[in-house]
Amino acid sequence: MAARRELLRLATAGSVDDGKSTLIGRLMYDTDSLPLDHLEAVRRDGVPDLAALSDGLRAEQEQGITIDVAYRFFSTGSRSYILADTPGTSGTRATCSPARPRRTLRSCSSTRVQAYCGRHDATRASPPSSVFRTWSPR
Amino acid sequence: MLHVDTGHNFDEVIEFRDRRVSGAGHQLIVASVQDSIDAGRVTEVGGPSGSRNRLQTRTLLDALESGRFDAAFGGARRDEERARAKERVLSFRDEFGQWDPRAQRPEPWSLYNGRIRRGEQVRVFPLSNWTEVDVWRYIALENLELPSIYFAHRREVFERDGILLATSRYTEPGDGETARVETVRYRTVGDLTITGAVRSDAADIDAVIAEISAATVSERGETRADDRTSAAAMEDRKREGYF
Repeated sequence: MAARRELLRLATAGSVDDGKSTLIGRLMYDTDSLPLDHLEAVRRDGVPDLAALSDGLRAEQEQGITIDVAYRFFSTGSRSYILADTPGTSGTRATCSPARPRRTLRSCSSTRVQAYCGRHDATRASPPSSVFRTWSPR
Repeated sequence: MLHVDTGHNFDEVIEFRDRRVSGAGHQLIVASVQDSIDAGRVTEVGGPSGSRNRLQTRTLLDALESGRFDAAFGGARRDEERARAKERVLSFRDEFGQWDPRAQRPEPWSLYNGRIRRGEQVRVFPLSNWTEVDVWRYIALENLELPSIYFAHRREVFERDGILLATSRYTEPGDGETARVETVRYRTVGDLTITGAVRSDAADIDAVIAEISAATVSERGETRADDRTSAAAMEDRKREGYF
């Protein structure tokens, strides 16, 4: 029987246009986890639009924002990852909650906050730190 | 167990379906797209060999309505396609069976909201967070039986728009297309006229796991013509009520 695999869930949290979808796309790209047909589908003028990988709805592509949570997956030799890309606009908070990692699993929420902006509505709506190990750029 | 039957089936799949049903005591409901065409519920495009992919949504919705089902379970996964990547585990559908990606319900942790009014329904996708290789690892773990077409076999195929279609009574090579016998297997199995095979020597579960772990093209990208009509082909069909 195969060895037990670890599962790590990651959710983004941040304000609109902070780069959450791009971060998820970049993680997938750098770990070589993107099927070529998915990469080809988001190529614009020869350059992949990494945010478009998870902004898969027609309206999201047109407006360049994330409207609802998207899930992406990749794995390494011993661990599987579930990446949840959440919306940053206020008013979409209810859609964020499904992405919050399950308490029982070892989990962390990757936060990317632009330093000069401080914290926004959307980042304040992030779950309590008791549940998450949060990091932000120094 | 509900089978939305486009009429374009792989023989191996029907044989497997009937054997599993008779052995396990399930009740099988076959909702036939041909019946929907005959009853005038949908109009067939492109003759009897044309794709019935889009037509089957009406057949599915009629079957769910006539059975007065509140919930329908399916095997869709978020890793398959980017509109599916957006879907809840319990996916709410209105009284017309339609999906509205902007009006999805929160799903905190593993709490699911199945509250519906009369006529509404949920589609339930327990495998949402599984990937293709997860499914195969589970098959290996439980030693599950599968239709033989998921493993390498010899089959007469021809190439159309980059997809390897099987020669059958519904699909034949056209001008400039040549059929030849190759060793192939199927990564996904849908309507025969739109499901492509992949060249493969993977004859058992371990070989399949090794093959898809190294694959550079996604399963639907490699084998499904129905997703290629537009970038939002899946989203459009799901809005209409497709699984």
